[in-house]
Amino acid sequence: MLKLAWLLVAASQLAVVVGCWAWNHVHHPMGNQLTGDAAGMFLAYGRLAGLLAAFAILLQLLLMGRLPWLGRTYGFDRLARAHHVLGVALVVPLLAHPVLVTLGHAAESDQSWLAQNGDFLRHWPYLWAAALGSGLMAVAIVTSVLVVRRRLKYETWYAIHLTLYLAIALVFLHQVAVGSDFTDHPWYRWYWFVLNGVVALNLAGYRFLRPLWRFHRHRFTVGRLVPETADVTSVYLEGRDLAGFPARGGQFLLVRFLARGFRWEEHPFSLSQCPDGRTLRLSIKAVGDFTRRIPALAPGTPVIVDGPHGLLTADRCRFGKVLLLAGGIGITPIRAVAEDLVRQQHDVILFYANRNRAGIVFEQELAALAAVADGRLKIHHVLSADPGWPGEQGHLDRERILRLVPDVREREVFLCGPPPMMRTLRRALADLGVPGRRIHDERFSL
Amino acid sequence: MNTHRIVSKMVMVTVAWCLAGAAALAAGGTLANLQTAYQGESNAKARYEAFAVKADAEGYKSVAALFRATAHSEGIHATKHAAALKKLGAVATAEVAVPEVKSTRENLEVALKGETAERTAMYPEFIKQAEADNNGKAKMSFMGALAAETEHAKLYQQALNDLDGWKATGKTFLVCEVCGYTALDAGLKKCPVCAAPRAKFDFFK
Ligand SMILES: [Fe+2]
Repeated sequence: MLKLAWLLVAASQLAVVVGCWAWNHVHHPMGNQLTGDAAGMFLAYGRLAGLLAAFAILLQLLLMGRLPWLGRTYGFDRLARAHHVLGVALVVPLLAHPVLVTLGHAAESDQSWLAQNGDFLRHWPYLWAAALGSGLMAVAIVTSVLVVRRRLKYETWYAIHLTLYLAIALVFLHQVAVGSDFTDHPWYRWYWFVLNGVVALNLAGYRFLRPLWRFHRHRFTVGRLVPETADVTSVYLEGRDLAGFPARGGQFLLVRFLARGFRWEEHPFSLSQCPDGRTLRLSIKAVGDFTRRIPALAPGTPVIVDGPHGLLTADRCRFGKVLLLAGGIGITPIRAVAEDLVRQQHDVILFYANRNRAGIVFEQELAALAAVADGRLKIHHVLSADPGWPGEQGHLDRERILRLVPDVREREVFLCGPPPMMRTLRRALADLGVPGRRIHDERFSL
Repeated sequence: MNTHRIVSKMVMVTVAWCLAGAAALAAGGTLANLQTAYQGESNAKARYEAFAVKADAEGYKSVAALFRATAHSEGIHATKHAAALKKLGAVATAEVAVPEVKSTRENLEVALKGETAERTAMYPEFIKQAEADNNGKAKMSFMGALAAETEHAKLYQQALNDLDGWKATGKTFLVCEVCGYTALDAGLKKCPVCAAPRAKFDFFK
C-alpha cells in the first residue's frame, strides 16, 4: 500500500513539473511553442529534457539518501537497483537537453550550433557551471556502468561519485539563473526551490547528520575481533548507551571504520546477533580487498555507523511457524533473526547450506541456541562437498525442503544467501506453493 | 469503366494542380509579406533615428533615448526579415524615404500610430500567412517583431502621457540583440521573448 503511495507522490510531482512546463510553453509570449516552428520546439522540448533530468537527479538523491521511510517500504537493495537503472537512463535527457536547447537558440539568433555554444559559455550566466556539472555527471555515469566499474578500484569509483554533489550544485545554478520555466514563472520557481529543499533536507538529515549524530551519541569503536572460521571474523562494536541504539536482529549497518586504508569505504554488514545493549556484532567474510583486511582492524578504531537498515526482522513474522534458509555468510542476519524467533516461542526450522563443515559459521552457537529452544529450533546443515558429513549432503533444493518441511506452505520463510541460491530457492518455494508475500529476503547490496 | 478511370484521373490531376497552385501562391504571400515588413522596418528605423535627433534638439532627452532604442530594435527586425528572405532565395530591398520630422509630440503620435497599425493589422495577418505557408523562420521573425512593436507602442503612449517628465535623462531602455525586444530597464535578467541573457542586451539612455 505504502509502495503505491510513494510512487503516487513521485508521479504527482512529475505531473506538476511536466504540467507547468506545458502550460508555460502553450502560453508563451511568442505563441504556443509545443507545435509550430522548429526553433520554438527545439527550445520547448529541450527544456522538457532538462526538467526531466533535474527531476530524475532529485529522485536519484532520494534513492541513495538512506531515507528510512523509503527503505522500510521498498528495501534498500531495490532502491539501489532503481538508482543504478535511473542513473544510466539519465544519459538520454542529459544529452538531449543541451543539444536541443543549443539548436533552438542557434536558430533564434541565426548562428551555427558551435557558435551558439561559445555564446552560451561566454555570455550566458552559469552555463559554464552547467557544462562542467554535466561533464562530471557523464564521467560518473560511465564509471558506474558495470563493465567499467569492475575495472575500477572502489575508492576511485567512490571519489568520482562524490563529485556528483558538486555537479548537482553546479547545474542547479544554471537551472534557476537561465531556466525560462523558473525565471519567467515565480510560482514554478518557488515550487522548484521547495522540491529541491525537501530533497536536500532529507539527504542532509539522513545521509549525513544522522550518522554523525549517532556517532556523537554512541561513540562507536571496534571492540574485540573474534575469528569464527578460517575466513569469517566477528567484529564487536562497542559504544556508549548502546541500549538506545534502535537496531533489531536481522538488520544491517553501513559501517565506516575510521582507520588508514578503511576510511574511504562504507560497507553494509548484517548484525549477526541480537543487540544486547552492550555490543553490536558484525560477522564479516573475507571476500574482497576490503573485507580481507578486517582482521587487521585495531581495537579502539572509531566507527561511523549508518543505520540500522533493513526489513529482515522477526517483526515480519505473522505466523507461528517459520522456515529459515541461509547460505554461506548469509547466515549472519538469519542467525540473529533465529535468536529473536526462538525468544518469541516460534516453531523454527533452519536450513544452512555450505560447501563443507569447515565453512559453517556459528556451528556451536546455533547448536547452543537449539539447546535452549526446547525443540522449537530444528537445524539442518546441508553440505555440498563434504563426503564424510553424516547429515544432509548436496544442495538446498525443492526436494529437500519438501521432504524435511512438509508443512512449508504454512510457514513464513526468511532467506539470505548468494544471489544464485536465492533465485533458485525463490523458484522452488513458489513451486511448493509458498506465496511471495510470505518470503522475506535480504540482498543488502547498496 | 474506362471513362470512369479517365475522369477520376482528370479529377486527381486537377486537384493536385489546384493544391500546387495554392501552395505557390501562399509562398508568394509570405515572400511578399517579408518584403513589405522589411520595407516597413527599414523606414521605421530611419524615421526613429531622425525623431531621436529632433527630441534631443527639443530637450526631450528620455524620448530621444527611447527613439534610439526603438530604431535599433527595428533594425534588428529588418535584419531578421532579410535573413528569412534569404532563406527563400530572395534579396531584401527597401526604398527608404526621407522621414518627415515634426515636433516631438507629433513625432510620438506618428510613431504610435505606425506601431499600432503594424501590431493590430499587419503582423497578425503575416503570421497567419507564414503559418499557412509553413515557413517557421518567417513566422518567428514576424512574431519577434510583433512582440517588440507591442512594447514600443506602450512606451510611446507612456511618453505622450507625461511628455514633460520625459525631458530629463535618467530613463534607460534595453533592446535585446537577439530578437529586438524593447523595454524600460528595470534590471531585467532575461529577455521574456527569446530568453537571451542580460549580456545580450543593448542599453540606451
Ligand atoms: Fe530577445
